[in-house]
Amino acid sequence: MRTSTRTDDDLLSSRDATSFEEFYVRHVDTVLGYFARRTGDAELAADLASETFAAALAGRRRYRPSAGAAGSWLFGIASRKLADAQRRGYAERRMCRRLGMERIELTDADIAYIDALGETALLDGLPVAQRDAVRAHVIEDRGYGEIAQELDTSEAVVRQRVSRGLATARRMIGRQP
Amino acid sequence: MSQDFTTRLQLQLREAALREERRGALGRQLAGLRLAAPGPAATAGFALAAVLVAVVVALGGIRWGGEETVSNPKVIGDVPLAENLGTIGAGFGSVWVADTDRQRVLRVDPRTRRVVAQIATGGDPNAFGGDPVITVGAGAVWAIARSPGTDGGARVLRIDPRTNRVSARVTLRPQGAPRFFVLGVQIIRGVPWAVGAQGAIELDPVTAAMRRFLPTELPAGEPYPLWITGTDTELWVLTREQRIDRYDLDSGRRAGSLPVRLPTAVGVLPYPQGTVLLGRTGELARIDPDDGRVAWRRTLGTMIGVPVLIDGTLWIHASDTDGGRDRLVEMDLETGRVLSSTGLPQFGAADLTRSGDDLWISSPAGHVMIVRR
Repeated sequence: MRTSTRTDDDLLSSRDATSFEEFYVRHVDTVLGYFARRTGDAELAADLASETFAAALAGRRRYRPSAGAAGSWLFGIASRKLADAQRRGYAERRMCRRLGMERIELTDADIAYIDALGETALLDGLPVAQRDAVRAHVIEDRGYGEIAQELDTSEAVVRQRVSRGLATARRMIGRQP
Repeated sequence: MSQDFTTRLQLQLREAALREERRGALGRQLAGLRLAAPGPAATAGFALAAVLVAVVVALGGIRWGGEETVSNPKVIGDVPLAENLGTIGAGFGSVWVADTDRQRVLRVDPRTRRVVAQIATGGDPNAFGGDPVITVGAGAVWAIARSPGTDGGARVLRIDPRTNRVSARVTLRPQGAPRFFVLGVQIIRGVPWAVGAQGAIELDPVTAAMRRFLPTELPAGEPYPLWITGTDTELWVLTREQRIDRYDLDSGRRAGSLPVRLPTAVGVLPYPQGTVLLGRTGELARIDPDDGRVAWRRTLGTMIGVPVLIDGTLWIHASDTDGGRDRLVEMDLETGRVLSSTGLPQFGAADLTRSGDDLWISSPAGHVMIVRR
């Protein structure tokens, strides 16, 4: 959930630790879910997510808003890390080491959580409005009224977005190999 | 449901970001302390300029659309060599580039563009601009490897291009400057000098041993100069008081002081053909080295690198952080006129060097871009 009105571009372009932390909070679950779904391995997903955010932190000076949205930039890193891991058979930890970040051992609860994120990663393929609505209602278990208030829209619109989003997700599941 | 992993990762990233912030504060102090050697030895000396000299402030920059002129130069290569690259130089039939990800020097065959040798240097992977910092000239490849956590303590490595091995290794501890903050090596009058925040140290070209230390003075309260560079006769120090203090290389005595009339100046390049000031926000100006009068002034985007001078023409990497591609701009040193502007395939440049008819640009993302003039 967003904790401020600042854009991702703004957060990533800022050089302070707080801004990057907010950027991380916004995206960590999506990134973890992305890796979990594509690897089917929570531990590998965790390593890849760590390495992706470490690379984003180390490389944010190179981010140019003109070249694309911050989220796209982050997923560009994520997809390269994934491809690299698939080629090597393991996740590199070069950027984590560079930043002095130790490997985090997962608990059973962590693994369950990451696996669950992988299952919801299908939402990534939804239009933004539908995805936000489905995530808020289905995953975060928030009421239609609360979501409508946050999005400054009507409850009916939120219901419609959730309904259409779930229908789209079901169709996407049907297309999975 | 536990979110312990994400919380722990968040804490790790926070600590890493705070460390980076602390390093950044020091880095900003040093951002202007870029070192470059003028004249024919410039190709080697410019390798000292670690990254770019400017930061993001979009004031009065020209728009690339209006600046585009004939673009004869062509990008003929975009070659990934490492995860990150830093300084670059040419010599001994090769292009030498710093792999700042793995702290090594890569020797590249300019014809095949392949790495033919790798020389480990060590150094601080988190050093500002990345380690090693390399310079090619005076019969060797010179690399600076800073020591992690010692406030600038550093070693100079001499790499023998005949063997691709480190032939000498010296820790710089000049008398009177226990913490000499070295940033690079410049080739001045054919001799290597380690140049840093407190002055310059002449090195033996064969053994890398310290020959003599030429200390410089700074205004009260100024921990580092904005820039320090050598000419054939003098050492020039750009201070935050907007003056260039000049020291005689032989006697070490102050030889004069020059006013700087470019308020954003963070670098000065005293070429024999003309003296150029580099501004923090993409400005470039040619000045009279006797009285500091500005002959011409241009702004290239919002961020520029350190140029190389070839036959009276400046070649300089420029970015426009508000939009548009990074470019290699060709300028006439005499008039300041833009002769060409070539779009580049990568964002950002760490350094630039000449290799035959080509210009090689190292990028922080680990590529070298090759532009045929």
